[in-house]
Amino acid sequence: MSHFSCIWACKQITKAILRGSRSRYRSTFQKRVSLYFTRCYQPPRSVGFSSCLTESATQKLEDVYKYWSNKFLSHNIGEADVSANYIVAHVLGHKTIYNLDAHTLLNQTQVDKINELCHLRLTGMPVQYVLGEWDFLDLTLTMRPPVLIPRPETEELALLCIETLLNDIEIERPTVLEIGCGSGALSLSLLKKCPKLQVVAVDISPTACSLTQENARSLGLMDRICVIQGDFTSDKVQLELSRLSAFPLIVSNPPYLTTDELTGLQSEIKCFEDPTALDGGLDGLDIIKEIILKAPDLLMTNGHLWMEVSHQQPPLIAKLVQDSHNDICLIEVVKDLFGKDRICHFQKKETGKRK
Amino acid sequence: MQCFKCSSIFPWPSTISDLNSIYRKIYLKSLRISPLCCYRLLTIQSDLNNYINEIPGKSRNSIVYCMRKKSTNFYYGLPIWRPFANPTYSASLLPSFVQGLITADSRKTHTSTKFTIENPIYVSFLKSLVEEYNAAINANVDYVADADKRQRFNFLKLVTQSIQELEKKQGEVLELQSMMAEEDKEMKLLVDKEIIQLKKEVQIIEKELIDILVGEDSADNKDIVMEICAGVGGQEAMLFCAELFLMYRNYAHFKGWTVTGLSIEENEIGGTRKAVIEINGESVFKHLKYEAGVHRVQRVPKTEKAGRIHTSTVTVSVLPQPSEVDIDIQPNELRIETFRCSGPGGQHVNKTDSAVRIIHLPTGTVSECRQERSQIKNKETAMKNLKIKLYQAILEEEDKKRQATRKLQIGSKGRSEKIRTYNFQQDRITDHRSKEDFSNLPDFMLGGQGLDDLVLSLHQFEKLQLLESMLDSYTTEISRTKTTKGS
Repeated sequence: MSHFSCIWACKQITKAILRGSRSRYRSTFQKRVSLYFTRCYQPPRSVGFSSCLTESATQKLEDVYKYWSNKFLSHNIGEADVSANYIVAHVLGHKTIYNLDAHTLLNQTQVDKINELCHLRLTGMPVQYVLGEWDFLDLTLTMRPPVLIPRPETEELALLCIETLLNDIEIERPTVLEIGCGSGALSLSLLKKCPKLQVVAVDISPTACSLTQENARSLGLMDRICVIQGDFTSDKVQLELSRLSAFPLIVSNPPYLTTDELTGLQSEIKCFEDPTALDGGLDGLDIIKEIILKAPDLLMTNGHLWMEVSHQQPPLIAKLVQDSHNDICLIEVVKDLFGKDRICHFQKKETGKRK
Repeated sequence: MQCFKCSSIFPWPSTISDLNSIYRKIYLKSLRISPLCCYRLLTIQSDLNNYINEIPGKSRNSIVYCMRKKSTNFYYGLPIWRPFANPTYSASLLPSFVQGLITADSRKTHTSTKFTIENPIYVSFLKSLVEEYNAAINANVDYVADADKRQRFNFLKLVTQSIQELEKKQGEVLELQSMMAEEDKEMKLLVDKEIIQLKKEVQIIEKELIDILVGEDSADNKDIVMEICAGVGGQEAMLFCAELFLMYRNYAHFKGWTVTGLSIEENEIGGTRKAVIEINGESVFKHLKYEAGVHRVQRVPKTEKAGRIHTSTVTVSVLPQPSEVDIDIQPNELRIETFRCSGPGGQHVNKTDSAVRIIHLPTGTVSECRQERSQIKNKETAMKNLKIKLYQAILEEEDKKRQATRKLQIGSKGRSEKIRTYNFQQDRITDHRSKEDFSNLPDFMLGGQGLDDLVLSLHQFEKLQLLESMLDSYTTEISRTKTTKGS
C-alpha cells in the first residue's frame, strides 16, 4: 500500500492547502502523513518492489503462482512460469506444484517466504541459488553462489561412471578421483550408488571445496570422501595425488568454454556463477589438455577417464590425444540426452606407446 | 476370534489354559479350521510362551494384561507368514489331535477321465508328441539361434520324459495284472496292494503331465495393479464395490501378499467409487487373473426402502506390472523432447525446466513427465510409464491371440460380460465361466478359503479347457490328413 497511499496523502494535503489553511483539515492530514511515515514506510528492497502492491493480498496457491509467473514474464526473467512453479512448490515442501491442489490456501508465513524468494529471482539469480538446493539424480544438494550448478548432462556423466564402476572395475574397494568437484554432485552420486567406493575430490576454489564437504556431511558420506583444495596442475597437488595409489577411474567436468563464449552467456550465469569453473582459455581446452597429460600417471593400467566436454571439442580432443603420444586413448564419445557429442571416454592402454 | 472356515467363534485366549480349551473344543466337536485361524492360534501360543519364559516370576494377571494389550486387532491384522501359508507346515506345529482337522487339503480337485491313459485319443496325442521329440533330436537344428524352436524342444523333452515314466509304470501294472492269473491267495493279496499303489502313482504322474502340457503363463509370477470400479447401480454398486475391495484385501492377507499404493475414492454413505491397489507377492497374477471382469450382485440394497431386489455391477481389472526384461525398446525408435534441445547445451546454459516427453515412433505412444527437478529422473519416470503403456498394448494383443486359439470362455475382459454373480438372497455365488455354484456368501466375502477354492477351481478349469483345445486341434488335424490321404 505504501507508495499509493503516500501519493494520495500528498494530494490531499496540497488540496487542503489550496483550499485555505483550515486548521481542522491541516491537523488531521498532517497526523495521517506523519503516521504513514512512522508506521508504514519501508525502504524499497529490490528492483520493481514498488509495484508489488497486491503481492500478499491473495492467498490461493493458484493466484500466487500466476501472479509471480506474470511478474517474471514482464521483467524478462527467463523461464518465468517454471521459476514461479519451483519457488512456490519449494516453500510448500514439494519439488513441483503438479502434485499440489491449485486451490490450496497459503498462510502468511508461506506467502512471505515465497515473496522473499521471488524477489531474489527478480534480481536475475538462478533458481537453483534462490532455492539454495537442487536435485542431482537421487540426491538433493545444497547450491550456493558462485559454485557451478550441475547441469543435466553431468547427470548422464555420473550414470556412465556408475555403470563403469559396477561392470568394468573388479577392485573390491576402488578409489575414484574427481577433478573440479564444485558442489560435489558427481562424487556424491557415485558414492551413493557404490557403497564400497572412496573418492578423492580436487577443486581450486575454497568455496567449492567447503560446499562439497557440506553436501557430503548432510548426505552422510563424509567418511568416504577426501577433498583437496588446490590447483590440479600445481606440483603440490600432483605430489599429493601421486602419493596415493593409482586410480581405476578419473572423472571430471572441467571448464570447457572458450573465453570468447563467456561474454555471450546468459546473464544469470555471467553474474552469479564462478567464471573459473567455466573458462577453459582461448580454445576452451586448457584444463582438458592438462588432464589428458597428467591422467596416465595417475591411472592404473586399463583405468578409465570420463570427461564432459563442449559439443564441438571431441575431434580436437582426439587429435590432442594422438599428438600427446602417451598411454591414453579416446575409446568413445557419448551423445547426451539432447543428441550432442558431450561425454568422452578414455582408457589407459597396457602397452606404452612411449617405449 | 472367528474362523473363516467353520464360522465358529472362540473367546480370545489370554492364557495357556484358555488356548488348550480352544484346542479341546476344536477336537471334541471335530471343527475343521482354516489355515489362517490355525496361524492365529499358533501366534498367540508362541506369544504366550514368550511371556512366560521372559519373566519367570510373572503373575498370571500380568500375562493376561499383556495379551489383552496386544488387542484382538493385532492378531486379526496379521498377514500370513509364508511358511504358515503352507497348511501342512503350520498343521505340523499344532497339537497332534488338532492336526487332522485342518481343512486345506480337503479341497475339491477336478478329475477328468478324458486325460488319462484310458482314453485312446489322448494316448495317440501323447505318442505324436514323442514322435515329434524323436524327430527333433535327429533334425539337428541350431537351437541357440532360434528361441521359439528351443522353447518347443525343451517342452517336448519334458513331456517325453514324463510320458516314458508313465509308460513304465503302466507296463508294471499290466505285468502285475497278468500275474493275477496265478491262484495263490497270499500272492494275490500282495499283488493287489501293489497294483493299487502303482495306480496311485500313475494318477500322480498323469496330473503332472497335464501341468507340463499346459505350461506356465509367462505373466503368472508378476505383481499386479488391481482396479475396482463401481459400475451400473449407483449407490448400491459403490457399496458392493467397497465390499469387494475389502474381500481382495483380505484375500491378499490370506495369501501373505503385500498391498500398497492405495487410492480410494469414497462416497458419503461408505461406498467406494473406485479403488486402485498394487499387490506384490508370489504368483499374484496367477491367482487374481480370473478376477478381471464384471461382477454382478443381486440383493436388497441398504438404500432400498420398498424391499425390491436390485442387480448392480462392479468392474475389476487386473494388470500385471511389467518387469524390465519384457520390453525391448530400441533407442532409435524413440524421440525424446525436452526444453533444452536447441543451443549448445552443457555449461553454456542454465535451464531449470526439466519436463521430458518421450514418443515411441512405431506405435505413436506418448509419455510425459515433469514431476521432478532432475531431468534424468523425469526421463526415467517417463520411460517407465511408456513401458507400462506399451506393455498393456502387448498384453492386450497377446490376450486376443490367446482368446482365438484357446477358445477359452473366460471372455475378453470387456465390460459387457459378467463373470460372476453374488446372489445374497439365495446365498449363492455363481461363476459363469466354470458354471459352478458356491454357497456361504458371508464367509466368501471375507476373502479367505472360500475365494481361494473358487480361484483354484477356475485354474483347474482353464487347464482342462486348454488341454481340450489341444486335443481338438490334434484330432481335426488327423482327420484332415486322413481325408487327404484317402483322396
